[in-house]
Amino acid sequence: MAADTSHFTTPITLDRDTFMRQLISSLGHLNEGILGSDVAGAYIMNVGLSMSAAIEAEYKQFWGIDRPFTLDEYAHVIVDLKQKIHGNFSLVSKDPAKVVVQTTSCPFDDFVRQSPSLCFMTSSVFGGIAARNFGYGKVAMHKRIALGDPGCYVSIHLKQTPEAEASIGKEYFPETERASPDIAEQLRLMENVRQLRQQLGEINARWEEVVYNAGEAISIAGINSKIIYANARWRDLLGIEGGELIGADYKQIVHLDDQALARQIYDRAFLGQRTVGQELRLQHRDGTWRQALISASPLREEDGCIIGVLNLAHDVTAERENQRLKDDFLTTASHELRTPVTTIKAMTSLLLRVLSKEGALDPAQLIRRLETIQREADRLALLSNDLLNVSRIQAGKMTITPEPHDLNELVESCVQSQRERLSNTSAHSILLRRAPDPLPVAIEYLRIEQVVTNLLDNAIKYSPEGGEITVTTALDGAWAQITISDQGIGIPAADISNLFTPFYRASNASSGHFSGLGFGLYLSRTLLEAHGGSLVVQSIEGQGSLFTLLLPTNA
Amino acid sequence: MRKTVLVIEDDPGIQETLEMALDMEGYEPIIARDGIEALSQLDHTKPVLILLDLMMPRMNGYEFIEALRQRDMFPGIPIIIVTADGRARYKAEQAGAEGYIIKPFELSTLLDEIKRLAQDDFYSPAG
Repeated sequence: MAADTSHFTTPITLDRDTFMRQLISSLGHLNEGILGSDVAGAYIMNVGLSMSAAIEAEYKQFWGIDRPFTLDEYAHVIVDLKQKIHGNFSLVSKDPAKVVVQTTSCPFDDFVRQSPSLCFMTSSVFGGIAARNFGYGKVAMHKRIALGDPGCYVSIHLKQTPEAEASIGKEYFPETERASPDIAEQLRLMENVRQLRQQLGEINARWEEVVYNAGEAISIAGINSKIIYANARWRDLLGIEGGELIGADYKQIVHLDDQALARQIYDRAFLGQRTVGQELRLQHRDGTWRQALISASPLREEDGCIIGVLNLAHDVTAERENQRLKDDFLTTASHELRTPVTTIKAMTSLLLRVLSKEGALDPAQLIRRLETIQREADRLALLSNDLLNVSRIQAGKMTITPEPHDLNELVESCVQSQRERLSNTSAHSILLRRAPDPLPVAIEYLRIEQVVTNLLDNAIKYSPEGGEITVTTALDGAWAQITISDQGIGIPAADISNLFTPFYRASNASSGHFSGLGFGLYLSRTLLEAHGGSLVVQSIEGQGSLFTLLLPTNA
Repeated sequence: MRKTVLVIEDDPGIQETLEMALDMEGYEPIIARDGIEALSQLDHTKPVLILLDLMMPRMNGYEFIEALRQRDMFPGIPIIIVTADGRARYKAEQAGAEGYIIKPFELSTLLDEIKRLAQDDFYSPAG
């Protein structure tokens, strides 16, 4: 019994751009199978749609009809093509509101090797015919497509009508005696597709190479905002292989606070507007955030229809971090310079005021105040010395004039002056275990003294009240060794690798509001290296740090 | 009786300077090295004014103001922020500080501010 299928024959004019968009947006999770392996996927689909028009026209001409297909005729086209080209696809129509074409293998496998794309194209052929003849079309792939498993369904959703309701369970078979068109034209088109695919592949390979060398991470997002293409540079930016990003939504990588902005960039692109250098935070695989300048532009088909958004992401994390370190440094340096100046200036004013008012001051008190001024002036001098040294090092102008010295003596003198400094201000103690014999080294005394003093300062600064600092000196083969250990706040493991970076300060040092400029360790290591020595650190956060200094002996 | 002024400052040189200045002007200076120490000082002293540094270990100036607020002691005791951070004025005002002095300061500026704000005794009964 032949069902009444006239309700399917109502012609509906379909705006091609709209259809393309719907087609792409319905791809969803299938991007990986189609567009992911194939940046030309959209083109493949487009070719499939053009082919569908050619095939449809050929059948209509052959049958002498000038109206939309009936569902029966549509079924005939499918079965006929299946026989002619040995394809494994069939019409399944359990739901009258849908036409479902099942494609379980690509008939053109031996013809063109890119089976997922071709399978998709086959689906587009049937989808295109159905859409033009029956109305709104939505290609939905019900099975993930992977290489070697090109099976998929295409369901073409139609309008639900009472007539459609009545035809539940109906299966469609064409009248096989009706003639079929020549498929030579179709095969010729297939060959064109293969060539196009290959050309696009070559263009893509060249493009990818150029882009890779340019150092930019590039991606394409489809109409549904999911990423349909990503190049290899994403590995450098986010630690993610380009292929892994396929099918991801930008929301998965953009910082929550930046998502509205990302959405805006994306929407603007679909309105044909470009975005240049908008800064967004993107999440690296390791959980950290990267600052990236995003440029976006619409990706158009030849006819101008926007089918996606091309994104370029330029990593500026290092620049921003450098800027932040410099800003922090300036803030801290300004604080460190202003503090002793404050005391010198105010204390001098106070003394002048007292002396001019009362004309006399208890000599002991006067001495104490002057000592304070002197101490702060020394601090200022040291600080400016450090600043000068850092700028010399950074300009590559640091030179060392070595002379023979006993490292033991140097360390002892440093410890002694620190003890004197501590005696009236803090409850720290310094324990010194020195090597029994002299440690002959060739050094510029003031520089190494600066290093040891700096490390002792740190040990005291980052230790709690009553903390014990242990200093040892020893001869270790051809090396004179100094160790300085404390029971202080220690250094977080994540900060250790950056500890000797100029202006870098460990997170617990800056957050704890410990004063410091962030170049003491950088300066110390550089000075030791200029002497042929080295400086290493071992530390456990919350337990303490151990700094080991090595200098070549001069024996 | 001399009015008490609480100085919260981590730098020994500036502590000494402020202590001397306050003493000379007839106030009773009390020194705390950071916010936490200051809070415990406040358990048994009643200053008429607080001189507050911003960058300090353990508890910084803003955190200290917040802690005071939670103890219902702020607003109440006037606070002069004495900081090396020249860009903090807006933040200091927002935090509710009545005075703001940038280090290094002119002694006379500091003394004028102290004189201006150390007038009332927050702890005296009204009237």
